[in-house]
Amino acid sequence: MYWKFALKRVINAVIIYIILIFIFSALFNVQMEQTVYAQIDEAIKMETMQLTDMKPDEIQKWAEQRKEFYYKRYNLDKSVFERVVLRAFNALTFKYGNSSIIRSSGGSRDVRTIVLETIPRTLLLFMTAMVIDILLGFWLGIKKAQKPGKGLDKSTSIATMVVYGMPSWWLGMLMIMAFAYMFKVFPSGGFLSTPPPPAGTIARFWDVIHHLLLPVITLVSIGFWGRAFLTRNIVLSTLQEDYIMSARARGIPERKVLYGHALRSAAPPIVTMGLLALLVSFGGNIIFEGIFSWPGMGNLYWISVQQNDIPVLMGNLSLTTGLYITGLAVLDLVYGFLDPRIKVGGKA
Amino acid sequence: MKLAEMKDSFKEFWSEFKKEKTGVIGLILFGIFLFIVIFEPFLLPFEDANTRWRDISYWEDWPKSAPPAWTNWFTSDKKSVTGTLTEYSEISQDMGAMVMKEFVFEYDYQYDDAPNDIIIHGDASGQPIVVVNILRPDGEEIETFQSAYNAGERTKDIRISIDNSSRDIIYNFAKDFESQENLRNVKPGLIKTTNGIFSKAQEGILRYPEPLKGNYQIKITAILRDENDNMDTPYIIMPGKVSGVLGTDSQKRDIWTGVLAGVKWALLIGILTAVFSVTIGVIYGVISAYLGGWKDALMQRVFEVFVSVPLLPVLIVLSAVFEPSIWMMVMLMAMFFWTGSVKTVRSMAMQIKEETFIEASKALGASNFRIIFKHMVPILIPYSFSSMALFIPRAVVYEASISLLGLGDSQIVTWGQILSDALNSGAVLNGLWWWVVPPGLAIAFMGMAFAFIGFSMDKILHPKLRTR
Amino acid sequence: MEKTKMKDNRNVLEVENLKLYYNVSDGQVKAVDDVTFFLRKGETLGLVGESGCGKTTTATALMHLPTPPGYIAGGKIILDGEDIVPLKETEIRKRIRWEKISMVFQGAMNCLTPVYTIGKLMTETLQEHRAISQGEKTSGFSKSRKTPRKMNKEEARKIMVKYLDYVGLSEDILRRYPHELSGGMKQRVVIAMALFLEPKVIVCDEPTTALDVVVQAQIINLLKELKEKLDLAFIFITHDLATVAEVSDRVQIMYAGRIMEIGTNQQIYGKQGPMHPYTRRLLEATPRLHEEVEELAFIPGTPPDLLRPPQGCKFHDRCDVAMEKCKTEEPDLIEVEEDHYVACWRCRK
Repeated sequence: MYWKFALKRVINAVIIYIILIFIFSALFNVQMEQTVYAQIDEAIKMETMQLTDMKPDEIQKWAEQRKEFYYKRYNLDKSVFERVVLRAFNALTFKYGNSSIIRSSGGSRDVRTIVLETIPRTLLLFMTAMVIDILLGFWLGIKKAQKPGKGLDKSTSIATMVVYGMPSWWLGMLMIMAFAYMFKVFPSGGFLSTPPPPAGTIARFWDVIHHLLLPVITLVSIGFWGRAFLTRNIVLSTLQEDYIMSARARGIPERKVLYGHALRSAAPPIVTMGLLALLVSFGGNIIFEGIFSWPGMGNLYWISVQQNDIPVLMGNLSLTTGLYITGLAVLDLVYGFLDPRIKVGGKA
Repeated sequence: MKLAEMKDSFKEFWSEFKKEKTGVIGLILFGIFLFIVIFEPFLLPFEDANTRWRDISYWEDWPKSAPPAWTNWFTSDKKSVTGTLTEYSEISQDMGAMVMKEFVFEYDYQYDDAPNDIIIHGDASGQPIVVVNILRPDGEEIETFQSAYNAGERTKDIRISIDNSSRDIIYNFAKDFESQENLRNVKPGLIKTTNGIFSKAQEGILRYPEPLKGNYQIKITAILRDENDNMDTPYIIMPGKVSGVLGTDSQKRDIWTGVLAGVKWALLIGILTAVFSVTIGVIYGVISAYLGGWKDALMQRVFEVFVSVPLLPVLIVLSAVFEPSIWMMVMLMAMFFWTGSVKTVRSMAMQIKEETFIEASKALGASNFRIIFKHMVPILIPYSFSSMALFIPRAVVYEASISLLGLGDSQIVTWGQILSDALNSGAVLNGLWWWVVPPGLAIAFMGMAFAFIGFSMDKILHPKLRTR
Repeated sequence: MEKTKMKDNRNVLEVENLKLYYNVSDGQVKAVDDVTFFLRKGETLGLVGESGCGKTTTATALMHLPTPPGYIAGGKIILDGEDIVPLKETEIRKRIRWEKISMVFQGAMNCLTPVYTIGKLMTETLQEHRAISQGEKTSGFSKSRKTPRKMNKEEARKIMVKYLDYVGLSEDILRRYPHELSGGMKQRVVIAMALFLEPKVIVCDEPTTALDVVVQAQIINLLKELKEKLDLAFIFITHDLATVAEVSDRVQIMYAGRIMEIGTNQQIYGKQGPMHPYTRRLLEATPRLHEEVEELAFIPGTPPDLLRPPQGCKFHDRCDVAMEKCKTEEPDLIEVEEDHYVACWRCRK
């Protein structure tokens, strides 16, 4: 039963991904093609430079031919509809073309290579932050739910609201000012020192940790209040369920009631909310990376906006969307796995 | 729901809300923000800031990257505060062939660190000759400036920067007091003019200046040789080492002004986005729940597509490609934010749908439209308000994030844009905290205000989470 | 009521002047106000009243489990000869709850932890108490550290199967999750759980309300059957006088946190009929199958707001025979004949 549910969810995700890629392709078609035209012009110019023994009108003619050749090659001679479909198809098969300026660390101009090498770093940053965030939030949330309305609960709830509308990247700016400018405890940004310690050494590992610390502290110190508040609310409403009262009446010790009956029941929503928060923070905090020059997907947005590198922007968007949708699907699958009610019903 | 009923339920809600301290604080904060928006013309130190925020010439008289004036409270070295002198005594002397107009300004200098410049403004016409003399407390008088202007027939603003125009004169004035050794170490072209003016006339005046406190007289003399020549309404700006409520940025703009001017945009963006998206979300959710069947299923699929969009990245790309105005931005955000309330609304509407009064109205032949908008949507109004309150901070942060990337609407001043400028000018790494902290704090405060309101409403609407 | 009359060695439960109050921001709600009653061994006491009259609150007080912000403000609950009110929470949890008094909660649907299998739920309860009853409970937390005395799974399974059999369920239910069972099955599981530690008193709080009619009848029959087979003492809470007539030996009527009348089935349902005007009105409002009724009576007005209860008898403003005295003075519960107690000025001679 679970497999049926899982399969359905995965197919659903794939369909949504395809739809979104089509929408993007249609929406940004003009901009994407402008870049292609510019790239073709540039390529032809480069080629004509090498033609030394030709008369001007011959060059002109030759350039026309080359243009035609390239237009055909990049499907620019087809109808708009066909072009959009072809572009969407290319995006779905991860063929994003070449960047206009940005290069990967290996010097490649292939957009896929450029974006792909940023993904692990983004995941490293946000996963680390989220794991700490969830653990801390979980712990604090349970503490809060145990004595609702008391001092700790009230003060931390207020803290939740205080940081509610605080941009993480702004806190990041303050943290850099404090801990990289005033007290030189952490580096002001980046992923590795220059020059980086050789690959595969312990020193390199520590170097990454050292760079990771400040952004992670920033993300956690803004995020975990909300997680705690959410955990508290879920646990608190679970604690008011009849089965909790029933368990207490059966003489089950409070500790088992809380950590067993209540938390086991509240776990699926808490875990889902946690993972959802990971996704949302991934989607919403993505430019946070730019503040710390953390070379992930968010930073790539920053760079590609500044360099006006449309192909990279689009490739990045497609892959971000892909990751996001995958994340949402994983979320549902995890929820279904944790909550026995879902497995059978096949529906939330 | 009848109007009286709604009034009653609102009263009931308000009596509950009053008990939530945080909610009331949120409302007060909101009130303060509204106050700022309404009285903005009276509060803004620079009235044209809204239209000329990016106009360099508008700000040229002010100090660059100066900390707030109140930082003086915490230091023993008092830095000169930016100020404007507008009071003067005027003496007019008719000397036959020409008229001499003399404007004397008094400046009580009690700081340890001289201002950056003395900037003189006045309305001039014709071809007046302007001379500026400074009479120091120690009796020394320096003729710092003399120049003939060609202002033309129409009255026009003239601007004299003593720092730029009088460097040589001050060097010559000071070198009489300075020791030879110190003079060798000082480049005449690089001295700080105002240091010479506001320091004791003794050895070290150029190299290790000591402040000369007391009353300075700045005398502006206009020599008018023709009846068309005139000079009038002069005023003097002293760009200090510290400036204003929140200091200035590297482009000499007053940050307090920017933060105040940003309030209305943040409120506007937040409230409009929230109202649009919650309205769409509530109606969508109710319709979906009410129609049921395949229509519901289809609407849920559409909803899923929208939910699967990573919002900020898409907004970034849309902004980068289409460079939208602030109104467009609000629309774009509303286009994606509405999904936030659909799930809750739909499940609530599912329950309402089963209520007998809906059945009854159906049996009485009420149209779907009527049932949805007359009977179902009103019940969801309290929920709508609480989720609107919680949407506002999100919208503000999103706009700020887009602006931080430099993709904001260039016609307006938002907090995100101020922060973007700060980031791009290296304010973070140069420690210009007065540039970085206030706009972000403003965003945080606005978020806090609405979070207080929203969470309090939520608490009242979900009695399960009540602790009382 | 004279206390001495209530004291009786046939009694398994004696409740004296029990008060359960809620402190809310607007004041104090006296949900259970000075309630006195008793329960004999092997009998079923029906506890009847409109919703919100304090029936369920009384039950939670008997378990010493008031829902916050409620608290027991005074009185005694003498269970099996021991007053449980002053006992410490751990003491109550270990020795009283489920050991001596168990409860079938309102709405069995929600009484079973959804993420636990039935087997796990039952085993947990058994292990908790059996380990305690042998005085060997060292650590209930880690499963690995088994005290030799602690009931093992096989022993637990035997007991579970036995009681599941009593309620007519098969063993394979143990592997199932609550949501996989029907309402009636869940209710049977809950009843089996209430029985299997063989407590002195079982409180059934509206055990049939959420079930459909056929299943309701099955559950009622099951309870009657079990009562005879196991010689149990039941407190049967319901709003339905008709159901109570079927299962109980004595009936006790509550209104606005107070007991209005206690009497045997005969006294309440017999020819003579109840004495308290409220009980009478309540009976008139109950549909009966075998009698022809032209028009079903109802009681005008609504139960009082417990935050601002009326002076005097709490029922006086809805009572058709109220006297001046009823508006100012609250009547005590007085024994008017053998086992028949009434709180009404009209019924005083």
